[in-house]
Amino acid sequence: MVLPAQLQNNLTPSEVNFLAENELVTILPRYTMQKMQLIGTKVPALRAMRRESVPLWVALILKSQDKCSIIPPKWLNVAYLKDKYDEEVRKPNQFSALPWNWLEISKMLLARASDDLSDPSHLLRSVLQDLREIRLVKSRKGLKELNESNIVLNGLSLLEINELRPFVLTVMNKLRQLHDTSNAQDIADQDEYEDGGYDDDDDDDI
Amino acid sequence: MYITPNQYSATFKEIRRSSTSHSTCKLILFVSCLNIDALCAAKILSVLLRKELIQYQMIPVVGYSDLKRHYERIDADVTNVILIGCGAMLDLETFFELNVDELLHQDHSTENSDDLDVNDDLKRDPSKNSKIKSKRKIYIIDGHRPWNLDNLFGSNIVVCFDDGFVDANLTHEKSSYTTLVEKFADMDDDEDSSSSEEEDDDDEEDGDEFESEKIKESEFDDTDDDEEIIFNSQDSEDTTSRKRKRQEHRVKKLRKQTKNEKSQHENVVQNYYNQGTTIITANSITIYALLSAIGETNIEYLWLSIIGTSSLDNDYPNIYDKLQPLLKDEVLRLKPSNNSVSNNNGEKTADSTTLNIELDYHLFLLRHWTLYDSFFYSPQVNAKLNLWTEEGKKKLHKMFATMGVSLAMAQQKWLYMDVRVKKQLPFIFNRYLPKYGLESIVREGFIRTFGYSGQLSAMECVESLTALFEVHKRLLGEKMGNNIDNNSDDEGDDEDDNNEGNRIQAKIERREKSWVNNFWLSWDALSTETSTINTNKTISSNFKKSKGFDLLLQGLDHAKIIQQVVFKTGTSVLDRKLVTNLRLYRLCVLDDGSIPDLDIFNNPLMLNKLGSWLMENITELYIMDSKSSLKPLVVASLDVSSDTYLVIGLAPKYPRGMDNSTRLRLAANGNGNLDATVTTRLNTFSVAFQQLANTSGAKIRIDSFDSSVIEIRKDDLPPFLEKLTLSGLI
Repeated sequence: MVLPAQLQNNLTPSEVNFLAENELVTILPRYTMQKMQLIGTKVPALRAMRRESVPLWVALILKSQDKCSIIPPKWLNVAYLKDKYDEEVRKPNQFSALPWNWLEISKMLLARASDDLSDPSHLLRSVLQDLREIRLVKSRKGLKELNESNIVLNGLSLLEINELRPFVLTVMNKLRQLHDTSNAQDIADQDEYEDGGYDDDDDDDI
Repeated sequence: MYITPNQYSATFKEIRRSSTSHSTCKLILFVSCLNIDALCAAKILSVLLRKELIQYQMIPVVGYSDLKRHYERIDADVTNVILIGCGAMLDLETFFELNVDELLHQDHSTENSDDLDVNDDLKRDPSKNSKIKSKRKIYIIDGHRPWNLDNLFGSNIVVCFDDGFVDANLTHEKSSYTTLVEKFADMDDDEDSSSSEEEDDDDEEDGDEFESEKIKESEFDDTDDDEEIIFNSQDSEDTTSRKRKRQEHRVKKLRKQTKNEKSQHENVVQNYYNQGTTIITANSITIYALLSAIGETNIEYLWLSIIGTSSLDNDYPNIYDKLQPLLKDEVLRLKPSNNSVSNNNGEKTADSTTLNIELDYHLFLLRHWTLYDSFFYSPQVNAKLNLWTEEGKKKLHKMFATMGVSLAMAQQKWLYMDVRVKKQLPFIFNRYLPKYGLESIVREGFIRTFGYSGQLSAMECVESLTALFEVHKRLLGEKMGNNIDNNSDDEGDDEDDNNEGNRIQAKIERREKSWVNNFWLSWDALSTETSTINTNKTISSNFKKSKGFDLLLQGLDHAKIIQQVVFKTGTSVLDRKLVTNLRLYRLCVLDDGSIPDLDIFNNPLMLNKLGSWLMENITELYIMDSKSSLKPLVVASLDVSSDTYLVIGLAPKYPRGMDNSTRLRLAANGNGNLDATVTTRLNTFSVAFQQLANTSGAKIRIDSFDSSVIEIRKDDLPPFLEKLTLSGLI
């Protein structure tokens, strides 16, 4: 597919959002429904008041029709998130372990299924915002450590990595080139040194 | 046919079943345009249909001709048409020229059982063996009464949503209607058979035929001579001829009797129609009843129903009073009470969209204006205190003084007023206001919070939406310069000025289009998302189209301006004594030159507002003189550009707060032979206008769903009014 240059190496946030919708969540259906075979996946038979796990997008459709209620994932409550926040504060050089798509899922559930969540949404939103900000600060600070060979991204979510990717890739590319050229220069110098001769012309070529 | 509330859920399931389709839209909603109740009902229905994943199309209609035009354009495979806020009083089969045979067909097939619909989640109904399945059905949700009896009893295609009124009160009319229909068939047979009697020989078959006819007629006969006249072939000539003469006699007598019966029944039906029109129930409540029947009630729907019902409070306060306790119960039932919310009782969060019952004031937009202004411009206070006179204003000031509220404080914006005063207000009002006749200013109202953005009570919402309906570019122009779409103005210049008919037609179309625009404006205001959308259309300005709550606030500003205009116009009308007091009714004609802002009153809603304001004030003036206090009012406003008058007729209204016994006394005093059980007055103008339109030669256009609003050519107005007085229909 021919995409414009800036889109080629990266996903847009809406694409990441879309991918996150495939996550399985547990729902509590209000009605009984037969199972359906769809193209990529299949929706299992739903019995009323029996928990079942379906992809998030199916759950959201059913929720908008008032046909089920969504059970929030285990990590989506104020207590757990507050813990993680404290952990972030305590360890300024590391990221705490959050689910791979915590940002997307929490946003979707807050927007569409806020009455199913166990805590009031304004408290949840404020904790989520705090977490996001502190991780953002940390990742910005970590940019200082950029070198040409490796970078450690333990604990970041896909969306956050996605944010960094364009910048980090270009910078690391440039650093690698500089590194290579400076390496080559060192090798050339060493060779010269061993040879003993010093040719001014050679220096100019480089 | 009509359905009662217990049949609502079955009907809805039927609608749902016949409207689900993967490819086309099978459901069309026609919504009456200038009617807040219909707007709310339509909004509820649209949210419900969207949840059920049913495709639908919503068309706001301005009048009967608009309705017909749109109806003729709809597709052949549309199976359901729902009319909201219109159509109850009109015989729809003849109006739409429905080809009944085409639309009904015998269908003995069972349901198609391999529907892979996601929505078919409920237990499958046992396959229906409906003998007569209609290809299209028309559903009516309307509060206007009287029902058209053809719609109720005579048609299989039209389904009327009724609230039990028909079964309770209309049995007499029902029997008359059914006998009329059968009688009509019988009359034909009767004449055929009697004519064949005279021609044919005495034949036993004829005798049998005649007997069978007799049996049918004997239901209605209470004749005592029920002897059977059998022709025997052994009879002599004489006896046969004698018998035949007796038969002819009997035939003639029976025919006369049936004719009397027929006219009797016809009278019953005619009286039913001639009572006059009124609104009995709110459409939103009908839809909410439907929702309760299918079990889908929630706070959003309830809020919309409350707004719809509150909109009727201005003109028909009895409906609101009747329905308010029910709504209150529903609010208490649906209040969210899960743990997370109960933790912050009384605290407001950014997301809270709760619906509460609190003390509400009947003053106009109190919470968004100053205390003084809302007193000044409330129609109720206006009427009781006669605020259009100088002494009325002094009375108002004195009233403030007795209440202990200084004028300076009263003229502060409500939001910034002293909190202590605000807390004391209910008590102060209750103590001092009854002295001025202003009881029931404080009562219970429904208030909705919109997060941190603000709070609105249902009445204020109604005012705001009415104002959005009445948005007029002239008024808008004063506020926002010339940002408004001026394209419509340029069209007029291209018209051929000699062709007056065309010009008027174009003007009418433009006006109707602006009303439809206003409808969609109010629709946006009711939607609960509050996103703002930047429109970069031909209107090149920074006119941001706002949705939801912001739009409601804009509407409130507009309502203030409109109320001030109404007040100004009303006071000038009363000052200049432009209201003439005729024997049967009061008349007010707004001509060019005497009234500024005349073209604002081309909107029937505005004229209605002015009319009810005038009526309240005048009723208060003449309350002592019981003979003349309860007269209906006719208001006419001139449309300069098209040389027509927009005329509306308003039924007399009892002053607010008057209880039933005083009303009865007043009614009995004024008109001795009046039925003493009348506690609300019916609007008889609709009947009168229609009849006069047919008989007089005046050029009249009755298009609105409420036939007490007509448009008449300028020169035809005086003779029309004369005929109105002489017709005795009021």
